[in-house]
Amino acid sequence: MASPKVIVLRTCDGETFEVDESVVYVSETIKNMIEDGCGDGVIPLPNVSSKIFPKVIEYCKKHVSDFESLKKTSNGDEKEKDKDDDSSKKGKEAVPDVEEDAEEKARVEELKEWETTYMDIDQQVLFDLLQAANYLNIKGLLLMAAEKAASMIRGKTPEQIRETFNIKNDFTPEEYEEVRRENAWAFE
Amino acid sequence: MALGKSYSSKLKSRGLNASNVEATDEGLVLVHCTRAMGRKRIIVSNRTAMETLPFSSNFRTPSKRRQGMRTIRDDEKSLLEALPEDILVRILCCVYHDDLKQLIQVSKFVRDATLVAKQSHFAYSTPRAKISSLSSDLEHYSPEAPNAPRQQRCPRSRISRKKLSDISVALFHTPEDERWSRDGLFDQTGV
Repeated sequence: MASPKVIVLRTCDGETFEVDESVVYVSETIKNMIEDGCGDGVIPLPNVSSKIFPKVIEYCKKHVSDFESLKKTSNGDEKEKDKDDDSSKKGKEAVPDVEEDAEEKARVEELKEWETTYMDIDQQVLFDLLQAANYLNIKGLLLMAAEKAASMIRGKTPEQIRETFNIKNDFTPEEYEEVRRENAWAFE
Repeated sequence: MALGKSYSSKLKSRGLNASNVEATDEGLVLVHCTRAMGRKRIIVSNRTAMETLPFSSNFRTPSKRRQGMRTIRDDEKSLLEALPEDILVRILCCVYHDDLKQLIQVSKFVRDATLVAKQSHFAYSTPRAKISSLSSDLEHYSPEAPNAPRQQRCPRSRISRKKLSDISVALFHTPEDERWSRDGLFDQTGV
């Protein structure tokens, strides 16, 4: 087995990070840059800070197995055993097996627990993560972070939402009344 | 018409009557325009005459938001409003339909993002079923009719098999069927 290639990335504040190629491939943006030939030098990430980048890499490392198994299946090669504690995803049709189902359930449970711990972050980190995931085009992370932010909005009144996110009400009383009147029927 | 000092020479060169141009102590130039509008004196400060349009006011109009980024005020920094609009729209696509009503009242920026999310996402998705606040027992909860009479899964036929055999006639005869139907018919007719 060839040694995994290491990619060097530089964040907007000048810090460099060395990460395995398979890990950074989770980011579509970086993957495209490598495929375009930027993988040999240092890849600049002008919209990502060194503060949030380790958090992003943590997600990528956890989900590299998903990408690996998909890549190998599409190439038609045999699946490799995954590293760390992730079990491999099934590429070919699996014969229903009680043991495999139990394994799959356990894996899903473990992933859920990991996600709960991973997303136990404050607003600043959450929004930095959203922007980084958007720029780096990591769909799973973007969805997870958006879901977390949405959970902070659901079921709240406008005043509660303003309080949660420190938003100022910039409607004049007349505008506010108009908004309520005009859109009340539109949202029924 | 009143113009800045440096313009006065230009005016003279353009053919305005020099006698109509007056120089004031403050460096302003008053020009009596007698051609179309009659005698009118409008004093505009030197600086503003050179830099701005004639009818601009002293109050600066607020600058337009660029790409959803709001200017951050010193004291009140909202992290949500500092996000680009497309990311906020992505977040709002994860909320429920009921929350949209609340969101449009939060602020102008959130309202704009909510409307975009509504047009691009919520217009094509089904709202969640509203749970009646009266029904406490979730087992009997029905999304369509909370008080509807219960129906059995497999409705029982009211006609028993025996009755059915008395009134039914086989249309297409098979050897087994023929024997059966003949017996049934004979019973009916009493022969």
